Amino acid sequence: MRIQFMLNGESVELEVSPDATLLSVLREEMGLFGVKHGCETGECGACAILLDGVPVNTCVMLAAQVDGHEVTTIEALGEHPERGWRDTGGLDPIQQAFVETGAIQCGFCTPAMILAARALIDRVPDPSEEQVRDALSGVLCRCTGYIKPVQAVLRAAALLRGEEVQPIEAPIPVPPEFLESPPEDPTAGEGFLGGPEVLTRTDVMPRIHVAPRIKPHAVVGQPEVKVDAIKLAQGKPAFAADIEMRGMLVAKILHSPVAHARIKRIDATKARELPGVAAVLTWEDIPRVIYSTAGQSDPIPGPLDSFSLDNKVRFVGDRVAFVAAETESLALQALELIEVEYEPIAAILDSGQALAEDAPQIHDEPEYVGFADSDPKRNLAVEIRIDIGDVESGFADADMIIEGTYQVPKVQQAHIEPHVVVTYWDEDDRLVIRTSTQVPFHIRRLLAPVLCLPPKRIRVIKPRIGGGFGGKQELLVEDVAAHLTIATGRPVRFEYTRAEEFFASRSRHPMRIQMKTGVKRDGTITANDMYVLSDTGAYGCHALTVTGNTGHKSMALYVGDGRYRESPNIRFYADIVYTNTAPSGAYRGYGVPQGFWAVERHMEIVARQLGLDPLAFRLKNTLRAGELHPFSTAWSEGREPRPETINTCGLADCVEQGSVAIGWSDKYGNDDWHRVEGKPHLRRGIGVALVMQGTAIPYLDMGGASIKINDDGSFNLLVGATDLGTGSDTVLAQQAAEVLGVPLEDIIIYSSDTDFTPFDKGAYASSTTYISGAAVVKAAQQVAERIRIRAARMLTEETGEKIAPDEIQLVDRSAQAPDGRSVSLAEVALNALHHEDQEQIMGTASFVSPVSPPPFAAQFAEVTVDIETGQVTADALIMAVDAGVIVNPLTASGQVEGAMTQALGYALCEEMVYDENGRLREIDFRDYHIFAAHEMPELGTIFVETVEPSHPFGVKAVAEIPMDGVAPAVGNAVMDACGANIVKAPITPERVWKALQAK
Amino acid sequence: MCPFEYYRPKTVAEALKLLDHGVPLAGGTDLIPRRDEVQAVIDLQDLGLDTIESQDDIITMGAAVKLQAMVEDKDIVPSALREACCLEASLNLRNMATLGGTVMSADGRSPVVTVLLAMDAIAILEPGNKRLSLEELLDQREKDDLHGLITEIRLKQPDFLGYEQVSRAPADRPLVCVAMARLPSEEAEKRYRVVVGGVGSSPERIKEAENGLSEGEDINTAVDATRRIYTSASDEWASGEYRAHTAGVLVGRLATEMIS
Repeated sequence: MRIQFMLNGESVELEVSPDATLLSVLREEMGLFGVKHGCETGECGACAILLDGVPVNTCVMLAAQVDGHEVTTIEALGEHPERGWRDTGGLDPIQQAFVETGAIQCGFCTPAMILAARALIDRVPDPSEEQVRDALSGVLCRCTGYIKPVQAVLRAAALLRGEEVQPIEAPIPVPPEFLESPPEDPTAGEGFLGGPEVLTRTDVMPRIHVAPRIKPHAVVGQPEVKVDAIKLAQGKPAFAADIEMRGMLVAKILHSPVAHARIKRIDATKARELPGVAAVLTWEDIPRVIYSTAGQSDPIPGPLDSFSLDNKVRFVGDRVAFVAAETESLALQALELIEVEYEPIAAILDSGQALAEDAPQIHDEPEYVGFADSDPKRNLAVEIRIDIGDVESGFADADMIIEGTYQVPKVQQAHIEPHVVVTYWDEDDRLVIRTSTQVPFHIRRLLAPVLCLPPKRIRVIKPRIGGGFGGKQELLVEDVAAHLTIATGRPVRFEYTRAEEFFASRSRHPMRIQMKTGVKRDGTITANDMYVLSDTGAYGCHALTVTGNTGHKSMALYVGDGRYRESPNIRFYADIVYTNTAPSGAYRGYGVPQGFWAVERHMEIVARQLGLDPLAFRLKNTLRAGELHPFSTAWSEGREPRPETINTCGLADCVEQGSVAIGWSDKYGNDDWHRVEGKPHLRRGIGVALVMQGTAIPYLDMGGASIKINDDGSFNLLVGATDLGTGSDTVLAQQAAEVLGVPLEDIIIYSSDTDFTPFDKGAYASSTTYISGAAVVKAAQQVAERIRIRAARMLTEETGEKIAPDEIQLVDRSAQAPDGRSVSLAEVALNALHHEDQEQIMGTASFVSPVSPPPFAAQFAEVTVDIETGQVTADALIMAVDAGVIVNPLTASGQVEGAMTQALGYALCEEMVYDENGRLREIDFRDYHIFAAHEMPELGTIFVETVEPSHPFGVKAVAEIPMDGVAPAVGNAVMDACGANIVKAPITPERVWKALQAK
Repeated sequence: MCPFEYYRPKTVAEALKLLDHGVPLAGGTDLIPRRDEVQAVIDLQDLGLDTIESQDDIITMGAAVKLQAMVEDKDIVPSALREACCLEASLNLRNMATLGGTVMSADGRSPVVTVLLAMDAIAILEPGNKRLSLEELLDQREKDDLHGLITEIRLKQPDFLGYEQVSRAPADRPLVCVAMARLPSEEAEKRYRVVVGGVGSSPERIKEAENGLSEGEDINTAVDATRRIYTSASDEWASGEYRAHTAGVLVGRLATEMIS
């Protein structure tokens, strides 16, 4: 049918299929890739446009419905301020505000948010914070925690009204004074949601307790604009699916409807005969190669137990067949034509049944390759047995032994961009994989044997990524499209639906955790014991390492005091078992949030049973600088452990800063504060959790970087590191700029492409700023050295007065001698590239660390509990974190705010539940609730800097640690409010109510 | 796959003629994701069913009124209904979803339908200008026995209207929700409406609770009746025991607020 409408101010007329969604027409027919696909049911809002001036979601709208209307997409707003000789109007003020405030992380939802903001400000020039939050409520963001987008809209509105806003690059306070609590800025709110009043100021800098610098930095430590922000604010085609190719096929998977079965017969004849179907692949059509889908370094520290396609299915959603067709609709029709006869096998849906003697065996394939103690006959993917010190002796010394059992659910990463890949043969018949991955180099290595290609015949390109959070540390979709490209010779696009993201993707390991702690009456921990039953689902990807980190981090924090501190007694045992559920895998925090739910809920109970102050009790027993990481001699991700000393620990300062910020001393133990005037059914509570994480895997994680100078004194920085929206490209470029004495804009960073960028193990284990950053610094130092040598020669030749290279400093785009002589980097570059003794000034370096310096944090939470219904409302989350030196306060605080928000879902509402047939309850964002802009509590971030000596700029990690403490802090706050001891996350109203009933 | 057809009639009469060929397309937020189940859609956007009017304490809303239009009409639409609209869907979806579409696609966890039931909403269907109470309409929908096109929803401006819900997060779907209304009726037994939602295919009137309120505004009877009836309201999201208790709490709170 033919439709006519106004599109971005111009009348368009086109032929569309009556059942085509507006989303598909805008993206596939009109090439407007600023409109994103995040779901198919309208809940995520990434596909939003303005229809007659108001935001609507195009995935749930037919193109036919807009006939006669006016459509505005992000492409209508603003343009890059620099377009050569042609003057441009620059970015729209709202885009500019999003860029400047750090409101853009992965940028996948950014176009939709900017359009929503535009619609609001057009209607309400002076919006309240509540109105801004409501305006953004239709767009889910998994990265930011919404603070910075809200601030961006408020700032843009103010600027558009002609008002001044506080500059972002406000002076950063210096030590030694601790910071005062911020002044209250209550925003009026009579919101319907009844949640807490939100407090979002228009000044965007987090509070930082800055560590003393040996030398002041010019770029490191500054709130630099993200290097990819401008294109993301414009909705440029930067993501994996934002590509058009002639003849590209659409791939789909036939998923298993049963939890456990042998495929007796599969017949794809009818599907193959359907016109428009290019290929149908079953297990009979492709090589049988066993592998692990976990994106990890070689050798994979876990079992090899997966095939691209197998003659057995192990969970509802497992792969049965692949289809490639001319259109999505045809591919879906083809799936229905594949005949499959299943021979059902009893399923294991409860991890508690997996080790039973009569349990069915999930992995009985002869090709299975175990790791360490894998025992597939018992459904045991791996087991861990770690004893540090003499645990039984420690228990014998204890005055009290306190035990508890805790449970955490399976939860989804819920990145708004689904898994998506495009594969094609290039002109050299090399297979190109353009994919949304955190681990491009691992993908190439892992995929090669599966496809019977050598790695050198594969090129993996990682464009921008719309969030990953661990979910894309996996070979999950790449093999599907690649097999189909091999089968057809044609480009293939394969993209998960939102439902597939839930039932056929990866998730956080659910765990049952038993704690046993021995303590003296004075609060000294004498022994600490954790046993974990971890559910890896149908496949053992990340089975060992995720659960290993559960103990490695959470059980390392509490070493005890006195002689126990010198020789801690810690036991960590874990069984990681197979079940007939979707596989677990990597998810931000990587096993550690599970561990800290148990440890920090348990420590609260121990402190209360001893009658001790929970902060003092904790700090008495926590790990300190100068001490040995207790697990460093026992376990290292399945590799040889080596002793590791903690160099820096700002935990005590974090506790002090965080407690001031949340008003701990005024609230904890204050009965008046706990009661809500006029509402006898409400109780306030305050809670804390102390946490630690790691920074990369020592002696293993390696990042490489390459830098070269250009004619104008700018630099190309190539890294294999994988910015999945975190801002790592920006902080890596900042480190290069600092060394080279140039502004950030002179560093053109590119990541990542296995053909062009150096190896990097990828974005996981909180490693990029530290590992890849150190590699960048080393490469930049090589370049700086070449510049100094040449500049010294140029200056000497120019004046006849000799100067040594080591006297030269690189500052302000120039090489400067102490006597004031200088030569610009552009002159140095022209000299090197064109004039004299020509050379390409460049450097290439890599870095691997012998240590994994832990960041530490104090997470505080404030809640209100309805003691009659059990409903919990989070009022405030404040995290004080020692993440070493902060390279970029905007991106770093964005990491904390976003992770706290994800973790709040873990605390209160996120949970994946299977029925008795192994079918998942949650397959969309309606049932799987993630927090939206209008229901957020106050979020606060405080950085307490330390200077980690193993990194040139003193950095540690910040990306994962904010996932760790929110759930137990909220749990402890609930207990503080009403005495309900919730041992099973999430803290649902019914669980609170039942705990109150049981009191 | 069958060919898919799209119609956009200009009048209700035209739309009615097309009803045999396809299903009404209102906002589409529920229908479009499952459009492969239908062969044709009849887009209602040009029928002029998008007005909100109030006369003699009767609120008349076109079936194609967007939920966000209801939220923004503070003069006519009662606060509790506007609140329910906000909880029904996020802003972008409220800009699309219509009142009629919401009624037709709602399940037991719908805040809007919970409130509409409490307000004793009347649906006007064409052809025939048929009046159906919302309860009757939902019953017929359940039996797949609903014929015609909803063109209007009529509501009485209540003396009191309250809505409360319990959920895992502020904007999450309710585990339990209660709407309560006191309507301007001469007959005591028609004056009070108590509706509980959170489970099943549609929210449920608790008539015993209404009777308790009618007979001397007896809150305890209303609470007990609610708990008795909701004990079996168990599903994968919450136990009947919890729902019964919590529904009783919410009924008690709303009744107390109403009476005070």
